[in-house]
Amino acid sequence: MAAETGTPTTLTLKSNDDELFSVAESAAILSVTIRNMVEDGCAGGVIPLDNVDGKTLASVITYMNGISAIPADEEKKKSYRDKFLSDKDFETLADMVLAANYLNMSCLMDAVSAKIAQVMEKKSVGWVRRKFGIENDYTPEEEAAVKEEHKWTFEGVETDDDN
Amino acid sequence: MVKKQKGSISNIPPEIIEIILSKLSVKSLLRFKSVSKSWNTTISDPVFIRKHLRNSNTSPNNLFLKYTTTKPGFTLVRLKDRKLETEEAVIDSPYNCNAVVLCECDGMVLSWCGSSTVYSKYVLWNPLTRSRIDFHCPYGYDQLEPFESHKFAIWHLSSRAKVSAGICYDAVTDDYKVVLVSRTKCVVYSCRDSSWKVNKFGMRKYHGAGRSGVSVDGAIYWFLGRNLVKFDPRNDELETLKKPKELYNIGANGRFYDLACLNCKLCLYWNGETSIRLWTKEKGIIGNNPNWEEFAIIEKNVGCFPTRRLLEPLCFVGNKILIGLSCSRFVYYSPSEKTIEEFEVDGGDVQEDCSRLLPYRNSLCFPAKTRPVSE
Repeated sequence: MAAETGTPTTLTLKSNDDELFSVAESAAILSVTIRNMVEDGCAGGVIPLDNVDGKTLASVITYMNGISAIPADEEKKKSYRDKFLSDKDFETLADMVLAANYLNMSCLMDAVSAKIAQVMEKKSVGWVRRKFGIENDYTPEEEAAVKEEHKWTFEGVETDDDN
Repeated sequence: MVKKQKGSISNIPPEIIEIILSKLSVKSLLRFKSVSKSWNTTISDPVFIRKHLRNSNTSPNNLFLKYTTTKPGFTLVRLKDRKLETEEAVIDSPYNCNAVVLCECDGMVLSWCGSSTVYSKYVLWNPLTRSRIDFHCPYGYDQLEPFESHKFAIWHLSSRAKVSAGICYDAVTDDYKVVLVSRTKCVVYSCRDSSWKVNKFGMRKYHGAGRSGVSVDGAIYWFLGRNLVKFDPRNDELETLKKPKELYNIGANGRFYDLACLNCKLCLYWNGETSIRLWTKEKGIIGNNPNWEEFAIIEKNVGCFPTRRLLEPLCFVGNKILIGLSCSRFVYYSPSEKTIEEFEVDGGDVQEDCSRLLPYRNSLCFPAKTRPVSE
């Protein structure tokens, strides 16, 4: 372990599309999933992460390194997270929320899900169905009734030009 | 991994969808009930609604409903730096100008909407979902009539009330209970089944009516005279609690202490001649001898607190307490630095205007099943 030898331990992570990444153990154990593997002694060789692709894993590792470099200051960590997520598009955020869930990283999970909610805030029902791949299972009458009940919530919604 | 369709992700599991939804505004959630039947079911689920409320309470939006004694309706204001800015001039309010705000719980506002002919009408309203229920208290208004007179345009709106009102959430029955306490009775209205229950004390037991109940941890707290009284929805009983022991030592006069909710904890404050002292109660509903922690003593010489001026701690903003003073003045107090910063309210017409603030919680809460009560 790092503390015993004095040199930082590095782990090798493998994405589901076979990309390899080196990351300091101290940063990687922000993921409870990885920490458990390390504690169980299964982190000797390459750690395969079957549910995360290379592009997403690279992003997550950037986050791990960035956030663990910040000392215990919740304000600074928060502004790092805000900045880190500010330029991510919806698809990237969706991949990251799945990765954060799989890797069991509660701080990233919280931040990404809040960011997705923020992106959704002024979006139309059609946009949400398309982006989340949800089939409309209402009959036209049922849908009209639900919409009518909350008619005022459709005011100020962005026009649905995203196809 | 399944190759996904460009620009769409259909593989987000329902539990993650629920986490995302629990961070949305009420307006978006009501709109997204139209997305699909399963989204509608999730958003309407009482467990989800409680979870959403907990998220909202831990990430304050710094929004308040401002209301005054002189004009009907509410204004939505946002606390920004050192200013209260008007966000939206008029909120769709169900009240007439006689309505008197009694208390707030989980984002719902309880008002007395009586008139000279109908004394006993109350309205429970969630301004975000725009849901409301009206109900009448059937118990003799000789005891329960809220007001001795209609000339109540003074700072403490309900100070002439003969009843003290409160609302709380009973998690056991998933019900909201409205409680009205007069000197001789306590009546409990169950919003779920629109029923009333009365508990008579016999002799005049509680004095100092007209207080707004503070809802914390599923119970309601009031100061009734010198008594700190708790309503426990699990047995519908009132119980007197021990106050912080320092209050007995300083011989605090009952007229100058009151309750508030700060950071989801019950806060007791005493507005003395030379200082303001604030305590918080430990979390939890059980027992009548709670632990109190004194977390701030504000010396009145540090700032702009005129002696005995009415005041009310409203919320924490970071590590400072926002305190409302009379006549639309507000201050921040920092317990660690012991500093006071004063600021003003947007809008100008505040000279005569005694405005008060209610938290504008991002809350979907509303009593589950209600039968309409005929007028």
